[in-house]
Amino acid sequence: MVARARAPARRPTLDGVSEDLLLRAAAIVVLLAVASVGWRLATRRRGELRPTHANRTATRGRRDRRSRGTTEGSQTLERVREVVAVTPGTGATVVQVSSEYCSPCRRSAGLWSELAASEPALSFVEVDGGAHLDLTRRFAVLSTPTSLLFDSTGAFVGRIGGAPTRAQAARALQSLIEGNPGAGALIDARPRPGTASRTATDQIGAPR
Amino acid sequence: MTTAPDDTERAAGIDPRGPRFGAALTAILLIATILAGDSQAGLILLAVVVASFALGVARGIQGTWQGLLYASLLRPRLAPPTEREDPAPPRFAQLVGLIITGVGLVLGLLGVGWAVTVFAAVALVAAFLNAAFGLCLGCEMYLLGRRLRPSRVA
Repeated sequence: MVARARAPARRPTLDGVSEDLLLRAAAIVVLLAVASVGWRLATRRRGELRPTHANRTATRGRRDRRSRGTTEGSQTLERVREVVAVTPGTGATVVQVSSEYCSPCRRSAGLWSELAASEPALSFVEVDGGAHLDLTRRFAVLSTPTSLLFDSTGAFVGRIGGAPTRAQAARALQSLIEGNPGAGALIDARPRPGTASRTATDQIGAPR
Repeated sequence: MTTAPDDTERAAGIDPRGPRFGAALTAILLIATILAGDSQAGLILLAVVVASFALGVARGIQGTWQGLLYASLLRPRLAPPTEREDPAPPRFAQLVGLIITGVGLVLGLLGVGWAVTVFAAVALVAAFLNAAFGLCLGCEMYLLGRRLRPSRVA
């Protein structure tokens, strides 16, 4: 595309600038514009929970076509537990797939750890995708960090691509832990670690 | 790739704005390369980019001329970073950049006219997305690369 623009090379235009140079400059502008739009489209759902097919009531069509090739029945927490040690959470379990050269993985894992520390119903484990390629195939993980969310029965409910914000993480967990009194600590996710965790513990520990 | 030149930097992590500033400088060089195209100037500009990436792979991102420029000119004028980053991911991105621009340079030297423009354009997209949006090549490519080599069992 760009190479063909060389044909009339160095032929001066009215401005004295070669036509080839103008074409190249225009091609760069178009290339960067396309890259920007493509990036925006590719990352617009980053940090948000993308539910699995089975778990989605509204038919939103083409989303999640990555996991179409895999059998969702085989995507359970049990499959993860065959490979890595995970204590299932009483409300939700988050399995974050990370990789070696990934800065946002650390940020994301730090957030999940913090949430798990203040919410007893939440269990969190970080898995090195490079060391567990079978797991990344089973759950169709292409980039890192990818957080896989499981409910209290160990069913796969959805994934979060990229590092979520605190609000996004809390929103994703809310639906899983909402039947659970401890969810209050997550939803009211302002940085008040002391009070929040104590409240959550008290409520979870309370007799039904 | 696992040992950083500066152990204290590695422990504390590097300022993540440094690599993005460096990527912007690299992007400018790559734009100049594409404008020069299949010419002596284009080859020389691409060779400078290849050498910069080689420096980044060998010494880590803060050992490149872009990193040194950032440390000496920009960082003293900026507020301290709010978060720090492991130097390994940007170094991995330097390796990807080295491979892409290196192939373009070799093909260009062998007389493949379009190669300089096309490979510089591919590298430009990555450098631009890194500078403008914080693209993390290691996040998007490393696992994919490992998955595409099924025979290599970890």
